[in-house]
Amino acid sequence: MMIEKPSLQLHIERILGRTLELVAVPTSLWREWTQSSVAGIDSMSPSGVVMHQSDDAWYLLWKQGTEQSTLMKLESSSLSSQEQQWIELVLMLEHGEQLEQNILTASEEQEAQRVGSWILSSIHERDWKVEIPEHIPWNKQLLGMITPFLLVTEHIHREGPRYQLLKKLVDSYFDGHTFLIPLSEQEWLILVPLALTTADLEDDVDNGESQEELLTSYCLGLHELLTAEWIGESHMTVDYSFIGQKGIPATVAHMRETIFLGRTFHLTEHIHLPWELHIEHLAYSIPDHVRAEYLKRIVKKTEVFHDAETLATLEMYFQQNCSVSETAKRLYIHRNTLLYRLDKIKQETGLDIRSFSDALLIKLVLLLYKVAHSQ
Amino acid sequence: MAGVRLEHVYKKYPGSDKPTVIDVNLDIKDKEFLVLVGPSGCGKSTTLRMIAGLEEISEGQLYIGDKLVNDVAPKDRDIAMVFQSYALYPHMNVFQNMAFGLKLRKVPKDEIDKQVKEAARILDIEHLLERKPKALSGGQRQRVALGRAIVRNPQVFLMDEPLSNLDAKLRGQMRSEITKLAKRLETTVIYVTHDQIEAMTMGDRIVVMKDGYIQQAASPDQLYNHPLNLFVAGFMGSPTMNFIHGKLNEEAGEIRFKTDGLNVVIPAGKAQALKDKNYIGKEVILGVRPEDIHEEPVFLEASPNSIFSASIDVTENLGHEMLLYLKGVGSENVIGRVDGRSNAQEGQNVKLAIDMNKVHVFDKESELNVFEN
Repeated sequence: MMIEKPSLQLHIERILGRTLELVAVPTSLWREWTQSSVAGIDSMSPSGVVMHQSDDAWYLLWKQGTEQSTLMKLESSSLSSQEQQWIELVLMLEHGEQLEQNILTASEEQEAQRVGSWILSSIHERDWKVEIPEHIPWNKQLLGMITPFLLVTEHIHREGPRYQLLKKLVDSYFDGHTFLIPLSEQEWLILVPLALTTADLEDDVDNGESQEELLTSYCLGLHELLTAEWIGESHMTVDYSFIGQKGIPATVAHMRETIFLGRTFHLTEHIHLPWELHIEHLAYSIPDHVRAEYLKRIVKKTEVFHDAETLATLEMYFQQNCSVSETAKRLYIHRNTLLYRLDKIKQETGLDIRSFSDALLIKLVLLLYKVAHSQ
Repeated sequence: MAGVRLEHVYKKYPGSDKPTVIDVNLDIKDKEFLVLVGPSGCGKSTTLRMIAGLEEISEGQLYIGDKLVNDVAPKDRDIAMVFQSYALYPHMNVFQNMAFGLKLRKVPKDEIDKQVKEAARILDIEHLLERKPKALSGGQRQRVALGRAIVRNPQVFLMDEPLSNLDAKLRGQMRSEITKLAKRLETTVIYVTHDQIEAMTMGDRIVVMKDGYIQQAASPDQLYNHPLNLFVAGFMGSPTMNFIHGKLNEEAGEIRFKTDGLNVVIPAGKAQALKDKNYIGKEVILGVRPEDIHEEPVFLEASPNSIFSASIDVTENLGHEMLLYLKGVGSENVIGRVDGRSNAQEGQNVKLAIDMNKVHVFDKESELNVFEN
């Protein structure tokens, strides 16, 4: 039975015959103390409810899961060993179920971190197709086909995402067990067994919805969920399903490249899809000297592409599928003003954006300038 | 429900020369439907995203209700967002899509059931609850996205161009539905759009933004009839307000606005304001709404001091009204909006008159409306 917080505090105070000294700490901080060795902390009891520091013992009075955890401080010397054990037992019963869950999650997180480290070192060694070795956790669970998602967070509020919270959201979204692997503080690999999406996938391919369209929907939905239910901004990509045992480093490298290209070429987008970045991929792969020489050859005057107004006009023109009226409407300029700007670009560059081949060249030039700028 | 207050809010992205949002001050009342409108890149979406907690506020304070929320995560702001993409969860049916947020918050099952069904009833999608998103039309998907937001019962709804992906007919329909919904739920809504028609028809108050600055925040009627500057005057209204460059002169005790093909008398009240502000003898911009140009003989007889002649370049008959594209007034094309039964024809020379009581005069340098500043 769960005892109300004030009542629990009152009971302990009555038994010990003194007023307790209470302190509230962020739950995240307590979790950190319980999950790792932190300087200044002598020991943490295996039950996870008592922390010893110098001559003091800090007891977790109120259960975790809220923003703040309440601790009570007692001098170790003021209590008999039997009294200390009794208090620990009472608090263990109070927090039992949750602590057990925390311990389980903590061990899963440690396993995930080991897998993450192995992936990073494989990428570093450029060992793209290496199989998950026996000693790395989950090597058996990742034998089947999996769909990979890569999440890059930009947590602007307080602490970063916690493993437990993110895992809960992702598992709930896919309605099953997924594999969440931290690659760095801001980068998370999410591996989803194909079984969790297969039924829909086959059904949808039959219904004329392509695999790419369905993966895009999953990615959009997950991003929307994390934006609304989590701590805000993130970038995300998804890739084709693959056999988990074999190609994780290669897939991660590919998804990292997708996010990099997306963020380089489409600054305001948050979902970056490999099947929508083919031309960007091509532009980025052109060697520097070839790019410089090419730009010199096709653009008479480069200044025009450094002008913010011209760049915004061209970006919007392409975004609106080369529609003059829609572009003018979006930019809130008169159609004639837009035509004047386009004529000016023609005069200065020799390229008329209203002709398909020149429009293609201008698009390419814009991409190449973005590559140069990103470097 | 709650109001939202922005005090001297700025947004500056690292590496950019100039802030994207500059000194925004707004007091959005509880239950108000506020529309942020402006051209692409004006800072409207960035402002909304700062309210949502998706973008960091570089400077200034943001309050939801009485609580300072600059450092509060989106999930703890008690807001619900609906975006242009309205990404639904593809593998869940409509009921599950709407229930998901409540399930995460461990709301009891029967309560979830009640709330989802109530939202579905409001949105008229009860019959779709078992369907997956792929089996829904664009408009139905948008309703589900709204439903997902409604069931959270947030203090504030934030909507970023939620109708942009719909076709024109559906957009018009959803426009009125969202407005009705907001009234029914008695909730605060902050709505971003680039479309001035959406802004005019939906907002209790409209905030017009340009280059990161608020140009004017006022009711639709106030914005349309009393724009503070040339930009707002031109942005609100379609076809846009005519801007005619010319000069103000005093002749025989009357203040006249003159340009090629136009010589009209400014009414006494407005003339006095122009005199008081020393605009006589200066170049100004005359602002005339297309509907304030008349061809009816009765109006022409009653307004001998504002008659002008022009040739009709193009006519556009929209049935209930006809747009006349006129040549011969100043250096600009002027558009007049007349009755759809008009006999006006292309190439014809016509006599028209301006309703001078409704014109605006803008300072040529500052572009401010002389009568409103």
